[in-house]
Amino acid sequence: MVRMKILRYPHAVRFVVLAFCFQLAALGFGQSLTFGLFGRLSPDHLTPTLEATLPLGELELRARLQRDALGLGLNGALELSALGRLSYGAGFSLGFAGWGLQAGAGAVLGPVAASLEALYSNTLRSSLWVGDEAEGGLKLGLGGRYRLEPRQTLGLQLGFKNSLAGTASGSGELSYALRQEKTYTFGLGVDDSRLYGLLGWRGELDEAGTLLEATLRAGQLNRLEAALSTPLDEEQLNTLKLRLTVAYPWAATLGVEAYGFRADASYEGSFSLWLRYRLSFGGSE
Amino acid sequence: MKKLLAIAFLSLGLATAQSIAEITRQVQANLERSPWEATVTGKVQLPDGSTQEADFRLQVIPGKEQLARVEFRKPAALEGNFVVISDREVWNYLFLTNQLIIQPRAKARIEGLGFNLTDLGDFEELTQRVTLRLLGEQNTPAGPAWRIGGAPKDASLGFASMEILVLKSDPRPLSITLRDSSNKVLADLNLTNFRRANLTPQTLRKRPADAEVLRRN
Repeated sequence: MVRMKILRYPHAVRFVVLAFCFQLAALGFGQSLTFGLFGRLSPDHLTPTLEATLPLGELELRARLQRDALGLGLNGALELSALGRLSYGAGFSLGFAGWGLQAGAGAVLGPVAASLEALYSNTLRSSLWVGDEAEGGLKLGLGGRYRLEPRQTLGLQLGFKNSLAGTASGSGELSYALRQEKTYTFGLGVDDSRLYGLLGWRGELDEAGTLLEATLRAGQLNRLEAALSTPLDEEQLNTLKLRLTVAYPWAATLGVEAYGFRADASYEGSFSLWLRYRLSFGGSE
Repeated sequence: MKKLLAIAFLSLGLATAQSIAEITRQVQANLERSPWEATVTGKVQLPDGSTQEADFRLQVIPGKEQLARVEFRKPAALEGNFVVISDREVWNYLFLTNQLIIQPRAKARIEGLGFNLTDLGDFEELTQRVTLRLLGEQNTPAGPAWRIGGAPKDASLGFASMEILVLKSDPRPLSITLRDSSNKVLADLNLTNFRRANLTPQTLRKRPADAEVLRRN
């Protein structure tokens, strides 16, 4: 119903989107603004993207725009110094294709970290934001980490999805991380009835602080994720980040980030490229 | 006779006041001479009321651009966490989530463990928030020390009284004890392994390169 009304008044939506852009530009004290351009082949899709974060009292307003959709959200957090923090957020997205809602919370307190996320959309979430997955319907996620000892950590991830077609699926992953000079992770998981094992490695490669993290999931689901981060200056204000994901059946993503620039290329049935530049106004890095 | 006694008491009071001011000045001058680091060990009471063993590494670069880093080894639940404090910002790194939270100094809550440890390296800052007085002298394994008592000027500091031992031969804190209004010990910490070190701002600001950086204003 909502979708039909929006389709009936596309000019009104464009006006709201443009007015919002001008409003952001006029405010001028945004914590950060990220300008981007996203392109995908088959089906062809080209859109500018804009992300903004604005302080709103103790909260943070987050906004994101693309050619045919906008999203707004609020985030907040309670900082407890070295003891931990509690964070929470909620948001909605609205576009020509449909709408979506999301809410989440996370907490770290001493030896325990936990997070909970819930999403619902009546269309593919990638239609509402190019950076989201090509899935719709309900998605629930629960994550937790617990320190058995200072250098041993247990991790648990649970997920549930109910797709737009009404197909339900679940996932779970249990991992154990041992931190010596490097961190080694071992785990087992199941994703929609596909079993897999998990092996991970994380450690610094040099004295400058270059850090590599690699995680391999292999079995009935196969995916390799690697991330390399290296400081670009002694003050560690800028960092070069490279991210690579390769999966079978064939899919891959490659991301590069430095000095506010970010490029993400991916292949998941079709090619896409997303270029972004982030401007910070004394705010988020 | 009464006048003489009054003058004698007043003179004694002034002498004591000068002493604590002089000790504070000596400690400040000594700790500002060069960068230094120390191990802080003992017991602290956490906000949930439990008492935990504490073991921190404190690193300080004194001067105009003062910088301090507190690395947690114990309590075990906080191992790997660290706090970096400058005049303008407080960095708080949480190991479990690999997050670095950056807050303005004025808004950051540093006293999460009952006391801002970096005050031990900045007596001028400490005297702005705590009224200090000299209680006497005491022999310690490191040598003779001044016993200094303190009462917070602001009740929100989270303790009712403090006692600090300051080494006379090399004016620097040896221990600190914090008590609540019912005289219960909130923190009992010793500074050991004190040494002058070649510390740089880069060393103190070191963080995992892949940490998620979150700025709070």
